[in-house]
Amino acid sequence: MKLPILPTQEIGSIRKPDYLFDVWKKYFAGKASEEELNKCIKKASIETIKMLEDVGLDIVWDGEMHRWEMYYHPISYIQGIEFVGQVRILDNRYFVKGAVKSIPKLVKNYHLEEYLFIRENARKPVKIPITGPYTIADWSFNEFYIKKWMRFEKDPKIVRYNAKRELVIDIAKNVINPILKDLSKYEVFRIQIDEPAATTHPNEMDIFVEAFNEAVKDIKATITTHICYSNYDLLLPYIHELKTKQLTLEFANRDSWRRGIDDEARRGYSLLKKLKEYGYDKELGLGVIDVHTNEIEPVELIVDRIKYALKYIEPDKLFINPDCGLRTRAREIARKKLANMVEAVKIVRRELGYGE
Amino acid sequence: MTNYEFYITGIFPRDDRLISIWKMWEWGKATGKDLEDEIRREAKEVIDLQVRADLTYIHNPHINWHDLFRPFTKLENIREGPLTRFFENNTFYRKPIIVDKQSYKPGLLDEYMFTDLMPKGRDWIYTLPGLYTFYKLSEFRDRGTAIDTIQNVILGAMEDLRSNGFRVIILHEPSIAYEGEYVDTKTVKDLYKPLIESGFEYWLHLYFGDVNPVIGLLCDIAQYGFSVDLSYTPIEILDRIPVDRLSLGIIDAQNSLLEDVEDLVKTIRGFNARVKFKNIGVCPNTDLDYLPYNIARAKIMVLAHLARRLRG
Repeated sequence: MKLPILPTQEIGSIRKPDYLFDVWKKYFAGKASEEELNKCIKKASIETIKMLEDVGLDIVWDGEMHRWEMYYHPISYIQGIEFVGQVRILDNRYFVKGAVKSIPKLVKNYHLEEYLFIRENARKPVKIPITGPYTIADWSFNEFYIKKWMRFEKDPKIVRYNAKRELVIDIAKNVINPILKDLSKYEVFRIQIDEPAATTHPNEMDIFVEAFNEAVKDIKATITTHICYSNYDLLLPYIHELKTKQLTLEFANRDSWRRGIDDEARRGYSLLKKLKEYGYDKELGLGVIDVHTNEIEPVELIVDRIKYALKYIEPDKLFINPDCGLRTRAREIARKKLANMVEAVKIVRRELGYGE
Repeated sequence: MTNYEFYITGIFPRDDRLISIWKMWEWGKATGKDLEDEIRREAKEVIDLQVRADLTYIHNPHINWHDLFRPFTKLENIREGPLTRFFENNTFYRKPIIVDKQSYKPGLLDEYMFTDLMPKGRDWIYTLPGLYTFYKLSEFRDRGTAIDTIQNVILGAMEDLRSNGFRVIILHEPSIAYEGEYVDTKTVKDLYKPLIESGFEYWLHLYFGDVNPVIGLLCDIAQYGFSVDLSYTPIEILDRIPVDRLSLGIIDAQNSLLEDVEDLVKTIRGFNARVKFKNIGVCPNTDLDYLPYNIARAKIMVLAHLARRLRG
């Protein structure tokens, strides 16, 4: 499938419609059946695909309607990791965290039905985001491997590093690689490995890269990677080693809303210069929408952000997207933000002489 | 004869009921009174649990703290900044933005103290942000203003807490341990100078890093003692520390795995046989808030069993 220049895409999640959110809660409380849940999932999935297509995105999916959230979903299908309770992320927001009790093994490819449903209902090329091995491991309590390594080693830092490495590699080999292989059989257009935890531990970058490459080993599909809200400088030494076709990164959150394509106005995009210095020549997914504010970015601001990026990235390597999943925003806000993003891309395409 | 002291520190996790009421309050489906009642119910539970566990010190239940700095961003010249990752965790805090000089406002911590629920006749302790961590994790334009403000605010808070019956203040200083050899020693010393002169009893709580490179500095600024995170610092390097009181952060508050009490007894007794400190504190390495509520409770019971074994 051929994409236009500066293809537009969403990153991951879109807020669930109220009826789906309610049925998920009822399902967890044992007050709704799996059948009722699935019915609502399908309805919301179709609505979201349509919303993203209508807004004009070039690559679409269903905004996580099949998943409660990006961590809970995989853990539900991994033997060896058990949910142990709610842990705070910020303020009064919590996620249900798992603990690794034995070697993680895949129970079922938890993305296949989801992918086939979305593909059947989408008119545009489909991208499927998958939570990566490093993030699954990092967001879980590592009981099994810590216990194991404490038997062999006294230094707590070595225990922690070795236990983490073994866990991440096991998830990559036993869980993620089989899912990717399976999806590859169905000619999936693009698979985005989500690794928000990737650049949060400076001493574990080598583990992240090793596991990522293990996860995508012998996979024919196009693999991209999304990383956000962390220190990208840590990633720079590894950008060539990482077997991904695209890095999809958050920038708008760090940027000003001042117009212009000078370095000061576009200070949130300073990484682009560093990427160029490091000889980065893969695709780049450019975050131009801040997902943590209800303010809608004006089209002109997004145009400036894209034009600034074009100073450092070739147009045929540049993809345009929000910083991250938009599920923290109301659906209508998300739609408006995406609409402005698409509009801005049309303007830049015209200016570059590609039509719309 | 070594005196063993047992305690918890920092923010305690909320149970499902409190999380739920809090959400309902945010959505306008529960009243402020409903939320306050629920906070007090859980505060009492956390206090009672510490009493039942026979901990040496009873910690104020910090269940209504959103993060280490949040109460202080209610002050006029310390604003709530952007959500920011807390060290290497999947946990975020609001970065304090110090816009101008600020002193402590009496009563600021009233809603964060549960003195009427705390047990009489026991020593009470309270956690505050360490001065260097406050400095490093804040945003400000002027170094002098930031230092003055942080000193004034924390000293004021300590005075307020002491007048409310808290005997010891624990200052959380992850930045010192995390930065290790790269720590800004001059700023640490500048920040702690008035505290050292104040006569307040405070213990530094160090976590998220190996304290080996900063032991000399810690001995200068923490005359009443400090704790080390044993999930980062090898216990062997502590043998040579010239202080009277040291705390071992031996309960891992970042892992749900429950410690084997006999293993802990062996480690602590082995350590004590080598060093002969007058006082050895035993505590979690960091806030139990990194754990689900039930596991945090279970960790306190591990501490309770450990206390029974070590006290003989």
